[in-house]
Amino acid sequence: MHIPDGYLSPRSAAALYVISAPLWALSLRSVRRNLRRRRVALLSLLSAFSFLVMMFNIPLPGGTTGHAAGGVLIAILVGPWAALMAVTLALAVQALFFGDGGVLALGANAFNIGFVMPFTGYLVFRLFRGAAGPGDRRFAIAAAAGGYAGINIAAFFVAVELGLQPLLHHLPDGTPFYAPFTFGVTIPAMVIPHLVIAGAAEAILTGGVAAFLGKYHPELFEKGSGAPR
Amino acid sequence: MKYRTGWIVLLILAILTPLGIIAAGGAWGEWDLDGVRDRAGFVPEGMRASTDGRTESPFKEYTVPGLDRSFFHEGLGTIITAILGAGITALFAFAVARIARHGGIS
Repeated sequence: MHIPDGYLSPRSAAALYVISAPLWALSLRSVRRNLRRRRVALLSLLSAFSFLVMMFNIPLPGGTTGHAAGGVLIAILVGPWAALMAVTLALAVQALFFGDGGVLALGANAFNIGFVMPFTGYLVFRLFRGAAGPGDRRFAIAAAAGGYAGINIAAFFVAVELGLQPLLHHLPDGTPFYAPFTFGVTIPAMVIPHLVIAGAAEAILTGGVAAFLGKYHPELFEKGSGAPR
Repeated sequence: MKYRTGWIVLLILAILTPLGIIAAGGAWGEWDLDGVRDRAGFVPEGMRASTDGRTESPFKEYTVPGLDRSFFHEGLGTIITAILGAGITALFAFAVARIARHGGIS
């Protein structure tokens, strides 16, 4: 799901930086206002968690691999705005030190994995959660549903951004200039494996950790803990 | 240390990361230029011109230079990069969150 450099046109990459920049500013503002002092260490821990989770590649149908990202779980614990910060920093380290995802594409990757995934997943979690509290079965199921939805919607956004490239940038004879495949290829290639396997991995991770922490450390989700209600 | 158990869990995750490189193949749409040629039949001009981040990163694709002679070496390299990367990420996040909250790291 990490778009490397060269796949997006400089213009597309810049456009996604322009979209992500104000989101990063809002994330900083939200952390300043809502993240309590003792939760700074938790945000730091969760950011490292996201980095590590993305290293666990699992085989997907079609001979490719994918991984969970942890963004929805982080959103449930510290809120989606703080999750954007945590995941963006993990992506930045991946791009700068490990060549995983491009530096020019960081705006795009942060938008997809850091913004779209935690926010849509968190929304689904809130819709499913109802009045359930940490430790309730429904709480964990809602978390799993959020994880499943979040990673799939993010995969769809990646497919759209890649699929747009040959339509936006091609030679006069129609030869693609950057990422070569259009929606007919990118959407099934990204979405189907995520619907089947990677989404399940994210759901198990998100639901499992939410169930465990909800049962043994419900204080992490308490009112006033910094987690949004 | 705050969230001590959490940090221990992360260390265990880091030690387990070699499991994450067993899966055959790479992610869809994250190919190097040869991979693009294999799948599209050609390398688009704009892609060829771009500097692929992979070639410049110090620990490209989570490997440590020199640690590539055996699967054991590779696994060790993966663990080293996992600890290094997670550590740097944690420090970045700590610094940014502190700065956001206080306008300074101290």
